[in-house]
Amino acid sequence: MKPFKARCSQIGSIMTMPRNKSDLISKTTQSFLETWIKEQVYNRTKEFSSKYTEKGKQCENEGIEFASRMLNIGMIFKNEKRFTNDFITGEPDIILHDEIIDIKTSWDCFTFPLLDTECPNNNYYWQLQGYMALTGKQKARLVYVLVDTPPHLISDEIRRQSWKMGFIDVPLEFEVEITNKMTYTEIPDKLKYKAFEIPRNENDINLIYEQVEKCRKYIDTVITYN
Amino acid sequence: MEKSNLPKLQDLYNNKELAVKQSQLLVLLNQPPAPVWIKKHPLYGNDYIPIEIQEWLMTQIFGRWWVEILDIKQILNGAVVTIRLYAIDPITGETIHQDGAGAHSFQLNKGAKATDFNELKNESVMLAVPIAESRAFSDAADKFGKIFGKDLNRKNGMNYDKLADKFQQEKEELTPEHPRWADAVKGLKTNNTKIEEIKEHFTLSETNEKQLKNEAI
Repeated sequence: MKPFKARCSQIGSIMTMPRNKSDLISKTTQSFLETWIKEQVYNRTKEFSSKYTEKGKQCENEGIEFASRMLNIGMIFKNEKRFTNDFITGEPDIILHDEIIDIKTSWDCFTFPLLDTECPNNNYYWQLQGYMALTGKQKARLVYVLVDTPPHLISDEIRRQSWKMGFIDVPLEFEVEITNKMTYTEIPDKLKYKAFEIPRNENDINLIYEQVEKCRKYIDTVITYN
Repeated sequence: MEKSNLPKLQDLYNNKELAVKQSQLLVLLNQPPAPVWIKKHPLYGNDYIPIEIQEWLMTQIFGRWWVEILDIKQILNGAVVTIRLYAIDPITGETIHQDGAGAHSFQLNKGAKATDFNELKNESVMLAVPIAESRAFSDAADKFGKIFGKDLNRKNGMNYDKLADKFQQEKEELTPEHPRWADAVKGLKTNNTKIEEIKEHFTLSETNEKQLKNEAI
């Protein structure tokens, strides 16, 4: 079995500390590692996909273009190179000459962190520390964007919701209501963009590496006993 | 050669009174629909009259009407329903009809190929057939006349442009007039992007490449 390396997007799953100090890793991390072990043993990947991740994928380029405009950094493109070191692996969204930018597409205005003043999701904090560790950059920015949901995803949502409501013929008002919730054309750009700066933290990066080592020990233990 | 007199239009009808009334019906059926009935489809941008208004119009104009489902079949990854929409002609009392067809694709699990029917969602047939049927009804009702929405999209056509856009993802040409030209200059100036990356995403002529590089210095 290949040695465990954490993908940057998964680092958050291994950074929770155990409640019982005598435990090597937390239950959350154990559960995460069990999935990882199964993936290796069966050579299958546990795919995770939801309407939220789907929107993120579909709107990636639009999000990048919008963010570049709001950040006023000129034309930028999605990075497609995967970085790896002895402990972690990852593919940052955008690598500028002096920083990493990671773009998150909010599903709707209610999941968009309009009023947050700090990075609203700890997992993203760890993800960006991972990217900085891999690329040697000293700073990163987590950028949330609120872009229109693509029409076919709106269609899916209309079908999903109308099914729940028991409609056979979907009333126009219902379609308009859903479409309106998922598009933000009339909203000013400044209300559709939110950036959080995340400076590199060497201690936290070392903590990630320590946790990866602990994970490897745990994996060895589990495999030995089975 | 002896000239034959063409019949007058009125003479073609046996019953002139009936013909007048029929004309009135045709005139009514071919009146433009009230603007408040016309809705714009939120996804595809085409105009349409909602089915509940078409049904209401059927009742108002014909009094009695009914639908016969002629056929339900699967074509590719969708259900196609063909119906016959009957109505009682209010002038003659005879049964008249128009046929209509409607289709709706089956919902598949996320990521499934369009032809992979093992990936059909449980409710996909239950959902697709009634939707296809209601589209078939609209299609048939349209044919009774303009008032049902017959010509709504003739002027601008069904707005398939947006769908077509999905298949036309050729590289755009980056020229000094392109709205992202200044972005490209800035990207190069700030060293946040490279000319090779720009060329991967845009077509760039030699002249424009030179100009871009010059402006970025």
